[in-house]
Amino acid sequence: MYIIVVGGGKIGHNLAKFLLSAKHEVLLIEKDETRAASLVGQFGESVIAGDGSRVPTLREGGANRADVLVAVTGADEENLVICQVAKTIFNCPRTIARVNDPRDEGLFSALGVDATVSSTRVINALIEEQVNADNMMIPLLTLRAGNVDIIEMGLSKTAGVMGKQIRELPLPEGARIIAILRGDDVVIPTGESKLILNDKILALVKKEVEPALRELLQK
Amino acid sequence: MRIVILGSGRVGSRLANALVDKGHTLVVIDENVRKFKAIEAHADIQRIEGNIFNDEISDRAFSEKADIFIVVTGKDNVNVMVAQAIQKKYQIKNILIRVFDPDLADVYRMLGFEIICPTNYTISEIKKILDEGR
Repeated sequence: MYIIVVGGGKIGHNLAKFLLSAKHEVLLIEKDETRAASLVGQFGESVIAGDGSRVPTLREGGANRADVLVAVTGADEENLVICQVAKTIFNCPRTIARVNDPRDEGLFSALGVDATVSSTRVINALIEEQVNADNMMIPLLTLRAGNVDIIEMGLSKTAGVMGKQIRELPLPEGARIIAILRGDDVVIPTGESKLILNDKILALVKKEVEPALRELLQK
Repeated sequence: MRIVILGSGRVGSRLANALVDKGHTLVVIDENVRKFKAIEAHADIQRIEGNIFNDEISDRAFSEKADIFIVVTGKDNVNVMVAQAIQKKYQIKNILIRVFDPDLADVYRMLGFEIICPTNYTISEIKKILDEGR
């Protein structure tokens, strides 16, 4: 896939590193010339300096053939404009924005950004559930359609689901387990896959059934 | 008419002074209270100091239905984001947005917004003068 990442701060930098290691074609766009120059030192020609919320920069970056554009600058208004320009001018099929102020999350969805990631929400989740840090539900991604999250969650050691096959789980309506994280492995589960000790799961889940899913995986 | 202006810089403040003379009711919002200095003291100009993304501030500005919302902060990206947020929240039909960047102006025209692009105006004014053969 060709993925454009706009914003070369900590998040953009690490995201680019991860995506490159996963063998994607990546372009990182950074506005600050000095920072861009240091990123060029690390990523070579996968970096351009420029304002990613401007049409010529995105054109130079080949936004017309990008499969995904991810806007992770520290300013919400920039992230919104970047996604809107990518959609409107370059017909980018998928845009993802970092939301710095949780208040903007609903607005971004309403304005056509396909998915939002809110570090504040992730951190809030961490703080709320710090008592039981292994088993918290971390919202990784919020999808626009249907108010759906992709979440990561650990299983409680004593959970009733331990040792059971996925098909035996009384999953609430509106929740699907999409991956089992087992050590360094990712298991794409079938009905026969079993949940074992120290597994974590990724699930696609409607917001309103998140409490029910949490209950199931931890009780 | 009730007109809300965001941004009390050179354009915002002069616009408020000019429009209140025409008999309109004005609300001017700016984060920086010092920017209000250029605005006339007038019973029909309400000044609101604060960040428009703060619900309490925007609710105050749009407590009565605005006929027009004019967005003229110095930052293009802020202007287009604010305009869309306010349009969604208060269903304001008439919104004028200043966007300096001509390409970005085109993008938001395509999305159905009324955009004023000072860069394009300047260029066309200069061209006009040159065409007149001066």
